Amino acid sequence: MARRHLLDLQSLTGAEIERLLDLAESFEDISLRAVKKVPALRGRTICLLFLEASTRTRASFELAAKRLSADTLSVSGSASSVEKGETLLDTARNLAAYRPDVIVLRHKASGAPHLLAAHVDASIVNAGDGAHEHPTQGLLDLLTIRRHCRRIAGLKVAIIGDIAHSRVARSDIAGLSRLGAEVVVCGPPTMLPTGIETLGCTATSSREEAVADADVVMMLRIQKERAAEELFPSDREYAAAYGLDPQVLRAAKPDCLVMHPGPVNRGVELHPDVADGPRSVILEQVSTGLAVRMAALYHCAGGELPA
Amino acid sequence: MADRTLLDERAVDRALRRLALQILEGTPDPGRLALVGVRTRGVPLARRLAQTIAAQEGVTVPVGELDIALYRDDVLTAHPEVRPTVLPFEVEGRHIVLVDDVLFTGRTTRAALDALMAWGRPQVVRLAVLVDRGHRELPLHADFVGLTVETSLAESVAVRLAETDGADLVVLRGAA
Amino acid sequence: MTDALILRGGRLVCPTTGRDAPGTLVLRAGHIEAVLPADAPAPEGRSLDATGAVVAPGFIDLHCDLAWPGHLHREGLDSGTAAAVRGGFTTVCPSPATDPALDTPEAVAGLVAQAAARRRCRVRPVAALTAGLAGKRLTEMFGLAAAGAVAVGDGGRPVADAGLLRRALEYARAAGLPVWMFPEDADLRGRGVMHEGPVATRLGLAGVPAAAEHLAVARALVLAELTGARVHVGPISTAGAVARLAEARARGVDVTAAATVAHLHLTDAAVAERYATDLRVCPPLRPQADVDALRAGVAAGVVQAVASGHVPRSPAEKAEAFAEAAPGMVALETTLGLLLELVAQGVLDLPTAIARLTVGPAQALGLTPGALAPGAPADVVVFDPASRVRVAGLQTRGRNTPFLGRALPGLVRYTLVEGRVVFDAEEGPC
Repeated sequence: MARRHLLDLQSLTGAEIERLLDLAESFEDISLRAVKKVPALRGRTICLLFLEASTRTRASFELAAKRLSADTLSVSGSASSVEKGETLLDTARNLAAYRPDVIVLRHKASGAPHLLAAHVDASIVNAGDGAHEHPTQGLLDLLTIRRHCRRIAGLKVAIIGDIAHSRVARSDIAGLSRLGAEVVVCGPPTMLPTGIETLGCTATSSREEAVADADVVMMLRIQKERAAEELFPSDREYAAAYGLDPQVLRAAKPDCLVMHPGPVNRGVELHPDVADGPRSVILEQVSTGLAVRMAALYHCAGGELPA
Repeated sequence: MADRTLLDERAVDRALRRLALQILEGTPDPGRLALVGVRTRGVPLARRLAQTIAAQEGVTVPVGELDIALYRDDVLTAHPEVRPTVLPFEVEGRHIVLVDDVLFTGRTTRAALDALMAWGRPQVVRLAVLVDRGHRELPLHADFVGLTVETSLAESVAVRLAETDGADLVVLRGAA
Repeated sequence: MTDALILRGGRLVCPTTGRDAPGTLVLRAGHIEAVLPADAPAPEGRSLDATGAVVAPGFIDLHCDLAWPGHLHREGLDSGTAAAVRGGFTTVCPSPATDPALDTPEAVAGLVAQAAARRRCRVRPVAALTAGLAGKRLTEMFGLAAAGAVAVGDGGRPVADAGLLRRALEYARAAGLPVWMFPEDADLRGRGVMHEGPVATRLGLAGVPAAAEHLAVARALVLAELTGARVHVGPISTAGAVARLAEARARGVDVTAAATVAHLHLTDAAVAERYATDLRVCPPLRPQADVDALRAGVAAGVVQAVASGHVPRSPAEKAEAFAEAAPGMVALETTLGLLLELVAQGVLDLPTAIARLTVGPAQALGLTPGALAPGAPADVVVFDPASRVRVAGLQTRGRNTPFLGRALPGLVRYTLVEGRVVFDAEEGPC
């Protein structure tokens, strides 16, 4: 049976992405209702297979599934047999024996969702795979931008941080470029991977160049363990050279949005005055994420693909 | 078999005026009245009813748009398109009139009632339809009906409205 | 006097003697007794039909992993040698990266004896250059050579300490063993799992820069010159490596190199389709420009040997996400076919292709190459150069190849070792 999956944004067309955004928008009002639950996926089973630590994304998917009335089966890295030497496919096939309609997978290895999609009879939703993609994060970023700027085409969006190791960056670049935005990625050369331009962006190591006249500045979380790999020497140096503070933000458009996938390292990539300032839409990203994940689950769980 | 016109443009207009009047007469407290159109064609019908009521009685009645896709009993197989629900008023304690174009099996109305209740607890819910064509599969009836018509299961009732289809016309289509 | 075995009707292609003409081979007592013109009357004896086929000296594989001892879930000596003879190989030089590593004379002698008992192909191992392949302590190379090792090598785990490597090269020279070096700088590789470039970036996979190989080849060349040791690098995969080797050759530095058929055919772009773990290999698949340079290097002889690069993996080891899947591809049974594909594409001619599987590897090993000439050992392969057959019925235990089901030329009809038929297409391995 042909299943619908949401594996990445790279393989979607602009029109397909727009449809998912429209769908997500239609789910936003569910959180405004007295009864914050719809019966759409009643009787469906959604397995949350999180084999890499995640609190936020997992909570978001779990609530999304519950608001759609699906049953959820939650398996996390510590509770799974993966640590006992079982392969990813073994684990997934064991879960598939419960006949879930959707498996939401978070995995530390790029391409893990594609492996499942090829070998397991369930719809696969990628909740973040290695440094590859995090499509629902990409969609929620797009929806947040679209809501505030009323368009995406023609906007200048700067993405600043560890592009090389960021799945969020890859989903954002794919989604934004498909919808016609001008994307500039920025970071020290140690964090800019070879050939990133082929994804549909330009790259620079100058923060000032990236921020100049930007409509949106997306700051990525700096993972402190990367300092150990000598991608950058110290937090304070990173903050000084690549952090976003009110002074740097002045070069952007006056109504520039400040975004961050969370959790924020205040004082490292984001100055607290910016993180909590009037242009920050970071908390709104969280609530938008819920609608996007409802849309993703509805899209994947509902029915077979036409032959 | 050829299509048979049930209502032309003028007849649609007459039916709506009659419905508006019935709705007002059936509502003891027009201040608590709200019209909720069921997508797709219930929405323009609700708006026209509100305009008629405003024009004839000078009462402004709020209008909502209800999307029932997620409440349909065939949601898993039909995978219908989902669109936002817009209810620009508190549902709690309201006298709500659901507005739809055709009442047939009653399943749409059942879904609409569930969808509406998720937003709060109205005092009263009534149902207004432009056409009642019979063949109910659920124990439901319309309180306000523009036209009742006998049909066979093989036939279908097509409602076209200026807002969605360019012109007002209701036809009965025979079996293919 | 033992009976003769007559191979008649074939096209005799021998890179060693330069012969390429129809003819008849007469084999007796493990050796080639006579090479006769096609129209000459053949002596009495059992005969094998080589009509329409190419008859060539048996192939030598410089880079393969038989996973013995230690990894029976991947391969065994039975399956590994059966795969080798089905692929036309009469000599294989398995990697020392076994469990435990082939780092003692006893381990090498054990493998050689076990393999000899199978009576299929000759198994002449590459022994470990350092104890446990750990890059810390030299192995007993005189003993390893006496036990049957034909080379010592790093088993795919390059020695980080250049000082130690220098001493290992000097010592190996004294023991008369060439040194196999896998040219990859481990620090530049880092956690890389595929070629560093736009495809890896798009897939979110850590890259191995071409520079990792380039740097390691340069280091190998410098150390070869310094020590005078016989050095062989492989498998190589980059244009940079080919260029450095060509320069060194021009200077008279005699370092040999090998490429695998996978690297002559596949590019990193193929990984993008579905993160196919069968395409995870060491070194990683490279872009087309590198493949083209490698093909040119093989055609020109800068790269003397083409190897299978056979690395069997169990299905479970490949049923993982790309970065977590074990690297390797089985190839003993597809090497000839894939090389003949290059002949069909005009990359090199048939005698040159055969040379890359015979004379070239012998040169790397410092052995007298096999030949279709009187007195030479009767290690011979007979294959159909043109008709295509789908890759199926593999003898290897591994199924980790993207070429399953592909129609390839070069079906081996017979493989003979010391005059014995060890593989017959009708009956399988002996």
